[in-house]
Amino acid sequence: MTGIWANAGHLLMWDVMTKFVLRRLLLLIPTLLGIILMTFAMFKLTPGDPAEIMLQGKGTPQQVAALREQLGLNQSVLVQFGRYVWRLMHGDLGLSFFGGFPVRDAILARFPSTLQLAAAAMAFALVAGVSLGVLAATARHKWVDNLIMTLALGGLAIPQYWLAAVFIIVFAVVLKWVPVLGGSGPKYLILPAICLGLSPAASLARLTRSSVLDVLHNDFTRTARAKGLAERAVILRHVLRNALIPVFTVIGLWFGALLGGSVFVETAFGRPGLGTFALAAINNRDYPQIQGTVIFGAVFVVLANLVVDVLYGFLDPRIRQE
Amino acid sequence: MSQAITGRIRPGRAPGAITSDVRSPWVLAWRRLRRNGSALVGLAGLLVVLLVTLAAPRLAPYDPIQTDYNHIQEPPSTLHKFGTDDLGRDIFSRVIWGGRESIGAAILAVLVGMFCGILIGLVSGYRGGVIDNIVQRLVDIMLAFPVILLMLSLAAILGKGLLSIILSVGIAYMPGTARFVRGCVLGVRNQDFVEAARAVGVPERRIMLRHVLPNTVSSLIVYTSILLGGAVLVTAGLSYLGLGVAPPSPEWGAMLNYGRNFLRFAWWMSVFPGLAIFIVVMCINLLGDGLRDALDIKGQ
Repeated sequence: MTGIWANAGHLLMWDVMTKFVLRRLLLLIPTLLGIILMTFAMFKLTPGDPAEIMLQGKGTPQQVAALREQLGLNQSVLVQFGRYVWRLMHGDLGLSFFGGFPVRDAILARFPSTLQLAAAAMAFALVAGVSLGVLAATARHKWVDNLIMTLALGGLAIPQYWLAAVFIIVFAVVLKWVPVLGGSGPKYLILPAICLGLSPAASLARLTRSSVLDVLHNDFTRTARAKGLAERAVILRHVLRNALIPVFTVIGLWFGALLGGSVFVETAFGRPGLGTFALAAINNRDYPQIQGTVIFGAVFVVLANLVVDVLYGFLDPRIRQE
Repeated sequence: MSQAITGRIRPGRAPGAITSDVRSPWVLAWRRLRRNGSALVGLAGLLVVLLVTLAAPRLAPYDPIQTDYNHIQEPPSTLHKFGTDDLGRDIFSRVIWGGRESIGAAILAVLVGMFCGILIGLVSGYRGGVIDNIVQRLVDIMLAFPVILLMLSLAAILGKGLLSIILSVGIAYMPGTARFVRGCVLGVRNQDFVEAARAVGVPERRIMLRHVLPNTVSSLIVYTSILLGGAVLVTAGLSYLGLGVAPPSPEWGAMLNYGRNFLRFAWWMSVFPGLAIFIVVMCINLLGDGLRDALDIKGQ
């Protein structure tokens, strides 16, 4: 009997979860359309004729006119937008103004390096941020707490690009542990990842501390202590599990910051990636390249947030019910 | 009539007040802030930085863009406290002068973002309905962009230069501010004093500016301090990426960008401008944390 009910419960949960995910996916459509519309509008309003920029001012009026026709610039804005969306739906981000290569391929070639960096930074931020936050909360108002919170405030104030320079001076120039620029492999990921992950780590430490302090005063914590559990078990099994729920929600928000921060860190360490790609595009005023990177970045962040939301729904039944 | 309603009541100063213990919330906030050591450190540090920056023409021992080929890439010494760069320019003087552009640009960017954001958030939150719906969907979309990528593409469109950085950072801060202000306005909109002003026929614009907005000021102050710290980092950051001021001009981010080529030989070219950024942002954050506690605003 109980077996049947348990099964029904599973089915129900599955149903609720499917609905939750479907609703989130549907909500994605207007957001994505909005992102595309805004990016499109932004570059439509930009002064300068793309055809003339492509020809670098050297084309004859006939050449410019021909290119305008070829690029579809003579059609109404609405038609242009429609065609743009249509091409995007087929994964076509256009051709680079100056390189002539498909922007999509260029982005996909550079993305793994940036993703690797962002993932390593996130891992660092989570490990350092959460453990320091817990440590600070359990030592509330003692010197350990004060030290950690001061460090966290400092971590939020350090410019990533400057920290990168200091790291290079210390570890590459003085200690000679790594080459000044470049290098691939996990060994060369450590310093950039710390640079990129430092401010998320500091922010997570502050958040974890306040979240743990909130949970420490809960009834179930008192119960756990009252039944004689060791402090370690209370913290790890009862407090942390509940305290990490709000921490988990902000992780999604950090994807965007990490992606943006990669511009600074990749530039500082000379790592080829999406960040340096975007910067090169901006320096060249290569609009399809910039547009493509921005749309790709925004879509990636939106999807990452969706994944976090869904995982969150799995973890916390209260969210699914909304 | 409306004059009487909008006349500000000053607690503790009203004639016939029984006790003088009722203080304005600002006085109470200042008292709390005064007891907060780290906030005072931040405030004092910030004042010192601002004074030094403003007094740059008097304090700087050398001309910040004057080259001196007899003193190229000299490490810090008594003559040149922070050393010299590859053209013999005094780094200490450049850092002092650079504060004008770095801090000035950050403040202007925040002002642009706050002004537009407050305007949009106020109208959106107070009016509600269709306007609110449309504005909030637009804000949703803008917030979906990674901030730095948004700033970079705006900077690409607006072209290089400090003004372009100020505008791109300001515009990128706009949606977040609008969302924040809207939230504050929603909390105030239906309170009795707003209802009362509406009942006696105070014009809508006046209600928004005189009754609703002043009651969100404490939250806005804290929010501004959060934005300002980030703005200093990011405006200098965009200069670091080469999107800001033209080379000879001393701006902290631009100096860091320039120093990047000399990390191997002249660490002081990179360390000191970055340290300046760090100190300014740290002071702003310390003060901001203190303000949040003093004004009793829940963390965002």
